[in-house]
Amino acid sequence: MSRWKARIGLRTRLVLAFLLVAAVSAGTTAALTYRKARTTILEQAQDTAVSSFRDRVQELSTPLPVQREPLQNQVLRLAGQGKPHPWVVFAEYGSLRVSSGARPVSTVITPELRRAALANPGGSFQRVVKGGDPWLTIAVPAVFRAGKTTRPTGLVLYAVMPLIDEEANVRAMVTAARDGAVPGLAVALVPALLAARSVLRPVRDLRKAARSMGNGRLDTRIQVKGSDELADLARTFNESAVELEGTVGELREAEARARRFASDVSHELRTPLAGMLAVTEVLDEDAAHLAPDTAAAVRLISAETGKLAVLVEDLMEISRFDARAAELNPDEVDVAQTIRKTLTSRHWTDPAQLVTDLPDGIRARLDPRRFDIVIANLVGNALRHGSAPVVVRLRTETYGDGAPGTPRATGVNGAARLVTEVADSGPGIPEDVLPHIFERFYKADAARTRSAGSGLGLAITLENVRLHGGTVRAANGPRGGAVFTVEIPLMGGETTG
Amino acid sequence: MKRPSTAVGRAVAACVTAAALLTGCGVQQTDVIEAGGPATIGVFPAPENRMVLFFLSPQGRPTPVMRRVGTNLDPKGGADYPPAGAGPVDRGKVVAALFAGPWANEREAGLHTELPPQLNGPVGITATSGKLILRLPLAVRPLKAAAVRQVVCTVAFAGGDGGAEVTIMGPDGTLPAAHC
Repeated sequence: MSRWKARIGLRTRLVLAFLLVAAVSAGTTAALTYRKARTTILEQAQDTAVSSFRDRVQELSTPLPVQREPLQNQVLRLAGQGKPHPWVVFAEYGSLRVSSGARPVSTVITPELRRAALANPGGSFQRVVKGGDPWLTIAVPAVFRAGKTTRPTGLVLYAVMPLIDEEANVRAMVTAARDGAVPGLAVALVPALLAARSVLRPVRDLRKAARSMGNGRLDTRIQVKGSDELADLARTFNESAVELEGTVGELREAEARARRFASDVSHELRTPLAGMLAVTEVLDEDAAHLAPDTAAAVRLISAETGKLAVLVEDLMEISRFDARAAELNPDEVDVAQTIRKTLTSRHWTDPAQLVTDLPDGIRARLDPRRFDIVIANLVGNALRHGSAPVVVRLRTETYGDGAPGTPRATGVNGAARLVTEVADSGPGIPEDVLPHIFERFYKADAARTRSAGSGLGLAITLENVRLHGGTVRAANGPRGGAVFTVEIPLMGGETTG
Repeated sequence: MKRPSTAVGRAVAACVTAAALLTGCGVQQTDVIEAGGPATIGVFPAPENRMVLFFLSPQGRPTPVMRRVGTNLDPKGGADYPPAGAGPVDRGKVVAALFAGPWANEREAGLHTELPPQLNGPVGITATSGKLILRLPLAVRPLKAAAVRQVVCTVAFAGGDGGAEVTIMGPDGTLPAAHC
């Protein structure tokens, strides 16, 4: 039942219920009307027949005992006076049987009627269905007057009348009821559909509003009409939406405050750090003249201050991303040259450390500064955490083209991407760490609380790649070693070569 | 179908019932229904010129037959019964005619009698204020109920309208008083 219900929509169920109600009421009305009308039709025919038959019989006169020939004549005369339909008249007296029909004894008259006619001093009738046809059988005992009372003569007259016309009328009523019910149900379909619509429209509005809220438009509200249950539902929905909007607003504000705080803190730290960096440079230069212990301390301070400066810079960078203040300044560049420049400027040129596979002629629209940060972070990470040699590969791929790592040079506009791979030869990244590798301040090795980097390098890399509309993912290569793959769509960029 | 009595189920059942009411009936047959009184017909001869005897129909019901009497209407002299107004003595002859049994035309109509065919003696009738006492020269106790009714009705109608109370006496005793 419930599965059946689940398959049938609300509209169908409403319409079906409506039609069912219409059918039941139409059927009940028709049935009751029919019964009443049938009773009336039959009663009218019966009453007319019984009273007119009695009136006709009362015109008879006969000697007693009744004689056959006169009785036969009188029966024949009676037979012509049937009302409302022609009837066949039978007379029974003692062993005398006379009729106006072909047979002297009727096959329709029941023994019960005969018994009743002889036992009761009154007329009686019975409807009989014989061979599928309905008949009205009437029995009227004849009495004679004796003083103040009447006495039975022993003569009983029967009339047998077909009720075919009444049957036809009754059947016609059934047909009329049936023919009326079908158009009636068709007419009922119109209000049923309207009613279903009026119920379903608020439901549809509600569904749209819920979907709209799911898509993030928290200011969605439903127009409340009327005061029925659906209006209550809409009102509740609106109230919930207000609550939700308020809560989400508060959360966003709190998050924004927290980010602003981080941004402000790093800003405030920057100026004193700049001063400190200047001082530590001077101290570094003078360290050679200091006592060894003091020199070591000075160098430590200098190194930590440098790290602190990097951390503050990274924090500011990531704050800009959070505030959506980071802007892309694209320029059409030769990607291989850009990467080489990055490596050279950081003195990563030792072939034992770094192997490159950078085909010339791949041009793309990139923000050179941000791409430089991406490559520097990935290669720096690889050199720090993995082991040499680090391999940097560059290629283009077509979207929807096979598995990654199957390079295929294309000259096709648009549907291509720039793929940059940085792989090291270290032990790789543990599987449980991989999903978190791009999170801020995530430490791959819990024991190693201090790292050379700020802990924001990969997060910044991710944000920069995203800004280009691309993706970056970390995996382990087939022969061990971490592989970072950056994919950037070649928006309007061409590969020439 | 753990819950057959859902709203839909009930409505469907109602529909089916209504449909059955509509389609399952044309004109139905009935039991015997009483309707009005009997038909009063004319019988002849007229009350002045007849005697009423009760014989039995094939079903055993007392059935009246009317025989014409009166010399003025029957020149052949076949009449043995003067008009009713003539006097109470004629009841004896009526009873004799009853015991004599139905005539041929009456037997033809299926009538018969349960009475013994002959009376070996006179019949005595005394009438006192609507009560009739009939003395028969035969044993009355062995008479069958139908035969007794024949006698009671015939005596009650002889010179009356059949409403009198009749007591039958015989050599072997008296029967309870009865109405026709």
